[in-house]
Amino acid sequence: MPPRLRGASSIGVWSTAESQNTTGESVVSAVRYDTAPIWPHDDQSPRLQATALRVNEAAGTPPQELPVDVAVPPPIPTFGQKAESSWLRRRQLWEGTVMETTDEGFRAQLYDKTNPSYPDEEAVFDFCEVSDEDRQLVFPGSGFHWVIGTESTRGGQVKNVSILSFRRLPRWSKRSLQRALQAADPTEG
Amino acid sequence: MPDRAQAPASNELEISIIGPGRGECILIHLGNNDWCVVDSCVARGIQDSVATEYLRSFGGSPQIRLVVASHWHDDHIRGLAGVLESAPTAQFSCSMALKEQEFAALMRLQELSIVDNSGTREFARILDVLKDRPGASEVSAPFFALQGRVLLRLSASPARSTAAAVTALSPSDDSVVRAMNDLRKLMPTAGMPQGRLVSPTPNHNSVVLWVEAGARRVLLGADLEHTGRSGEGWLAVISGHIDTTRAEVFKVPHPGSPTSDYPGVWSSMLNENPIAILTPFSGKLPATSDLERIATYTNNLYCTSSGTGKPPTRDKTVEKKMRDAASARRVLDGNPGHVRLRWPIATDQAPSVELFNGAYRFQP
Repeated sequence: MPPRLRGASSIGVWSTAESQNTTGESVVSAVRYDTAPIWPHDDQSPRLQATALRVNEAAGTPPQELPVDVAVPPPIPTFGQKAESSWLRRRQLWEGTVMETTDEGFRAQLYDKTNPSYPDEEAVFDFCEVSDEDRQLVFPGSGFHWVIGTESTRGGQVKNVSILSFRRLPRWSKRSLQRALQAADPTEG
Repeated sequence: MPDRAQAPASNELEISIIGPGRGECILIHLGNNDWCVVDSCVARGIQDSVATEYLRSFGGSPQIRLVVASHWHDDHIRGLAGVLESAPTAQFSCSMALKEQEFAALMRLQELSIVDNSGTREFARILDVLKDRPGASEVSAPFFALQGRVLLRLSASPARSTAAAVTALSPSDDSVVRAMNDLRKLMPTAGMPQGRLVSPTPNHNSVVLWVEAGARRVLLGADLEHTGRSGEGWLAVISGHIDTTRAEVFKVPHPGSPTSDYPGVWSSMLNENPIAILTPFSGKLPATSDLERIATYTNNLYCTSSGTGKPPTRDKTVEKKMRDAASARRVLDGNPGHVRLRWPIATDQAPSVELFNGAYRFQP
């Protein structure tokens, strides 16, 4: 079925397929992200597929509820790929987790994805390193990528850049929480 | 030069403290090849717990009788499920606070979450190991630790000349209630974004252990802190402690932080000038002032390592941008050092202290 909706935003380029359910309502049956590889770790791919399938199974889900269950990829710049206007070369990539926030910034644990044999580190960042768009995504437990690279503009100017991009994490649904509480209930078989 | 791979004699008590990988691991030989493992850490780039690696180095078949998770933070239990897997008859014990349904629900949520790296996931693995044991019951609950509960008792027998026991001195009832409240607050509500569970402080549910072997006593302080409130933390431990024999060895709690220091522990539970051992935590603790403060209590202070070291140097451009964007960088994972004490259980002999992989004695 051809995609009915397409769009692009900070969460990546996406498209959806729609179908009709048994009562004739139009529902979203699949969501596809076209910015692959959207998450640079192999181990994440199956999970993204599984999430897409979950949406597919829940074909009765009205479109407005989509953000609840859809895994959204982080807006990672496509370093190393030439574009018409400029190119970026990635020199270093970390995966980070926010451990604590303060009024001025946050403390985070960093996992070196460029040199996985290097030890994990912790560092403190100011909020000025975070885009306004991502600021609301900074909370204890949230994840991000930190990229340091070299950018060259079409005019030939070269500059080194540091970019923090935060993951758009899926939200807990009422159903997931109920399932977890039920599974944890010692009186339930 | 001491041989690290030499197993203790059957009549020897051993206390081995290894760390920091990320956190620490304590191994106790209670005599007669019976071992107890408290917490776990892994060395950088290694999958197995340091406990598994150490016991394997002896070449025999050490019998692990008890595995304790002093608390659920992931800097204390990495690799612990693997330890339990290699010890099919060992009892697993953790804080009574983790009996709370909310904690079990948090573990279940991790199975549904796309976010990894949480202590709850290791804990879920531990419970799976217990459940998968042959003959396990449907519940397969851990042996929950509560102040005063004996977690392991080994009676004297023809094979064992002296009795030995491991008893929990914490958490107290008050601490359990407080820790349960903390756990409830961690439970997300509908609409909240998924994320890694970030450990709350202080460590209300930390399991402090009292080890007895013959006339020997050892106090393992876990990460318990001193809150100043009666009924919890170190005040509760002291008020509920009934053994009049004092410990000659003390595993200093919460890497020597001022929040874990309560002088009453030194004056009422420990021998004069006891052997004190601590494991640094990720370049932050202990500060030199902490070491100097602890050294006022004892001349026998040992550290498993001088810390986790400096961050590695990357290429010049990366280093410069890192400095511009981030401050207060520090390494979290270290190469574990090892302080080992061994002494015959049935004599008055002082323990021999052996230091491996960068462990050292602190000289003020």
